[in-house]
Parts: sequence; C-alpha cells; structure tokens
Amino acid sequence: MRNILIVDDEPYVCQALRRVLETSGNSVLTAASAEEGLQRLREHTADLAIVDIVMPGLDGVGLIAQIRSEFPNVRVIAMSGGGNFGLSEYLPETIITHAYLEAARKAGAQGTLFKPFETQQLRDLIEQVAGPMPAEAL
Amino acid sequence: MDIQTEAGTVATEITTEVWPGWTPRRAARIRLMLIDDHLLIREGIEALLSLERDLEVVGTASSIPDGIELARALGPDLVISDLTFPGCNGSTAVRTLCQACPETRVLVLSVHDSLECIRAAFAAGAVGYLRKDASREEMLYAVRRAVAGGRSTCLAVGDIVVQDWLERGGLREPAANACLSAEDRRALRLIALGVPTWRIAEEFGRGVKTVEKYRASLMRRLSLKNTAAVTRFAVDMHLLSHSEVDRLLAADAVSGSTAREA
Repeated sequence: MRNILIVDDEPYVCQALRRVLETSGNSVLTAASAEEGLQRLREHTADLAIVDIVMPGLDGVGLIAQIRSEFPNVRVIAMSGGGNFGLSEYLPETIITHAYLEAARKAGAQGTLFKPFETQQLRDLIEQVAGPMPAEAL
Repeated sequence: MDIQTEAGTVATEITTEVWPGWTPRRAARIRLMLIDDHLLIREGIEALLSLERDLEVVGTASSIPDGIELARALGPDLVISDLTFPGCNGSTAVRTLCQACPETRVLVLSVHDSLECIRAAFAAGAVGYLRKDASREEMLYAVRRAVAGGRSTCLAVGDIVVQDWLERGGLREPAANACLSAEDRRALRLIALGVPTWRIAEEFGRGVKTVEKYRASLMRRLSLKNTAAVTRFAVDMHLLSHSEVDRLLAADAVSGSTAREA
C-alpha cells in the first residue's frame, strides 16, 4: 500500500482521484490548499504527493519546493490544466500549462501530468515516480 | 565553420543543414527578459524557455518600472511582457516600456485579446502579440521571429485580426474600383509602378500611340492628373502589394518625390 496525498482546490478532482487510487489499493489523504497539504504531511506519513499548480494562496510550485525541503523522501507529481484566467475548461496544450509544469519540474517534481488525463496515465506515472506497489498490498 | 578547441581552431563541416536544430555550444544565445506581475507565470515561462538551447532568460521583473530598469541594465534582445499590471492599464505598459527602452523589442503575452488591446500594443511599439493560451510552439516561433526582426501573433490573435479586417477594413472596396475592368487595373498598376508607356504597350501587345490614348483616357476618367496621383489611387485600390509600395517609397526617398510628380 502506498500513502498518497492529493492537493487540489477543486473538490471533485480530489474525490475522483481518491476513488481511483483507493481502488488500486492506496491509502489516500486529500487537501484543498497547499497550506493544508503541508499540514497533512506534518501529521501523516506519505510516500507520494500529487499536487495541482494553480491554487489560491501558496501555489503548487511553492508547495513542491516546500515538500522537497521539508519532506525530501516524499515523491511528487505535479498536475495542471492551465487555468487562472477565468476560463473554465482545461487548456493542456497552452504555453501557460507547459510553463507551470516546467516550473514544477524545476522545483523538484519527479513527474508531471496535463489535465485532463486518463486513469491509466496516472497509474503509469505513479509507478514510474514511486516505483511498483509494495508487495504486501498485492 | 570553425570551432575553437584547446588544440586550436578546427574546421568542421557540421552545420544546421546536417543536424537540424543543432546549435553550436558557443553560439550566442537570444537574451530574453520577462515582465509579469504573476510569480508563477515568470517562473513557468523562464523554466520553459530555458529548455531551448538558443534561448536564455537573463532577467525577470514584476512591474514595468522594475522591468525598464532591468532592461536598461541588461540590454536583452527581447522583452516578453504582460499587457496589464496593477494600476497600469492596456497599452500604457507597452508604450512606457518601448519609449524608455527604444532599442528593445517587446513581445506581448496577455490574456486579453480585444482588438483595441492588440492594435494599441502594436501601435505602442510591440513586435508581437501572444495570447496566454497560445501553444508552446507558437511562443517559440514568435520569440525567434521577433528577434529576427519580424512581427507575429499567435494563431488565435491572427484570426481575430483577419476577421476584423474582413468585416470592417481591408476588403472594403472603394466605389471607383467597381467601374474598372481587369485591363484598367493592370494598366493602372503598371503606370503606378512607373513603367514607361512603350513597355506597357509591349505588355498589352498594342501600339504605343494606342496605349498613350488609353492611358490619358483612363486618367481623365478617374480624375488623376499625374503619375503620383495614379500611384496614390493604385495604393488606395489595393492594386499594389506592400513590397511594391515599399519599393516605391524607397525610390521616392532616394530621388525625391518631385521627380515622379513630373
């Protein structure tokens, strides 16, 4: 079993990811902001954090830098669909989305995902970033 | 091409023709500066551009005054700037930047895509305009094109400009154009370009006298008193391409417009 923290200010994203990851045998925590995510990491053990970039308050890039410094063993996946410009739909192919994810990578994220993504893409990336699921959960 | 090594200068046949996209390690990189009030955008664009071997972000600023100071100090090849800042609306930022740093090229990267913003940015001196939802490839193209001396927009902004041009501006056909035959337009083009009558006669496969009469009749019909007036008319009627107009203007600059008036 992996312990995974999901940080996204959109509740339905947290819920959907939680459902997918728990079905795969992971233990999932969620947080609606970077600050809440850091608090969760201080209170609980996590192997992996899946972090949105555009969030009110501390953004995802700032959160990733903080995780790298405070919890160096926690692996990080950044996800973004652009946004922040009053646009409701995801803009995966835009300069800004590429820029956000590149900034996340520079801050220390080991993997990046453009929203929206397929469940299998997420599973593959988690395996790539965090390694195969520990044997006891299989 | 020669490459400097510790052993001396070594001639090599390696070129970009052999290796597309290959940039010599010591080739001068394009020096860029970013101005945007959002830290995340600055960090992201810097990270993105830094992946390109020929590009280098030499500085970032969060406001126009700071950007101007930095641009004066660093002398970048190109500044990529947002259009609106707190307390600084629309094209004011670009105009201030262009006036303060006349040697610096400015590429706008904005979420705004109104025609007023686009027009004002170019009028203020910007060489390119990208919407923030443009693709990464569009941005890289615009950056390289701007540094090479060209103007560009992302596809979405290009669509907006062309749509407006079709609806309101460039295609509007002056009434006089409707009464011109294809032959009239062709003749007017040649007259406007300063082609002598004997050459026009050759082009039309007619005698010089016939063409002289046709030319006089055409000019009388359109109330055009001399070649300069024909040129102005041809420009207004979109009978000349931009490059032809540029060539005429250049010729005027050299010889003086009075020569063609004659």
